[in-house]
Amino acid sequence: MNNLIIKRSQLIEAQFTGTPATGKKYQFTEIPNISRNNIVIYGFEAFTATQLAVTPNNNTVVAAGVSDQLVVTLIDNDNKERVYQLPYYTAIRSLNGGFVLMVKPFILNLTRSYVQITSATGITANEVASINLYYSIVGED
Amino acid sequence: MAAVVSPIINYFLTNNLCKDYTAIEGEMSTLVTLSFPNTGDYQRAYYFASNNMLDGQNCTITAIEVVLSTELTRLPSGEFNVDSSILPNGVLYVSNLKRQIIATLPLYGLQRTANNGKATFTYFNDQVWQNCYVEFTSTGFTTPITPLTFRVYYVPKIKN
Repeated sequence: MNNLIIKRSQLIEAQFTGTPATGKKYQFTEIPNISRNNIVIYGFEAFTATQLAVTPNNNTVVAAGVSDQLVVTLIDNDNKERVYQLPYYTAIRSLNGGFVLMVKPFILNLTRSYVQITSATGITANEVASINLYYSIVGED
Repeated sequence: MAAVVSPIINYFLTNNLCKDYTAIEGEMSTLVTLSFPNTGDYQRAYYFASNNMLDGQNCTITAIEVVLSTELTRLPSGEFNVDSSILPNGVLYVSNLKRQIIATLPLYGLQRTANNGKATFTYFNDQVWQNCYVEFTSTGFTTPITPLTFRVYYVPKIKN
């Protein structure tokens, strides 16, 4: 069994602004350095408050109890849903034997990618779903 | 019978994007301690002391883990080691000479014990260790704290 090697990483977050609503798409917040379709992601990892209580942007991360109520969709630079509605729980490393989720490398369209809620119970307004992207820069080894 | 290696896994292996989880972490390792003021502050960068051996021009960092008090009660300096309860409040930033962030790594995920014994593999080649830092993101850190200790695995770069 192989495990991912981190070359570069960046924390991203999707904030549940307003009253959390089932099915609504919550896009990831723009990060200028990686929002220009300039990174190739090959793995990612999701966090709950157990792993990261508050993000560096000072937003509270969702509780561990709701990790089975979220799905993640990652979209590439051709607007294809490369990872469609992946259960958030599946991407939490410590719940999966310490293995990091790996994907066939693709150029990520960060600001079109999103998180959806499948049940709003236990999710508070303005909490965030936090994900660490493992990537390389387009054109870089 | 030979194992079948899929093209995608072969791509990952040849490009240093993954390796077997039982693989050796690195050629050498060192314990690095990050000390804090008496009462730490949150959302503030705490930089590591300079350590040329861990700079990208001298080595490739191949794995990093946080060493907890359950694994090492007291540090070689005699000080008490950090308790795991503060780890969900912190993030390790690895950066290069221009202070561009190479990686953001929440501390909790760097515990070997939280990951079923698996180390966090890295392939950092252009880091400057004294530009790397830890930042605590939440008020949970404002109580007096003990030093934070990392075990850094690396492969030295051969020089003429």
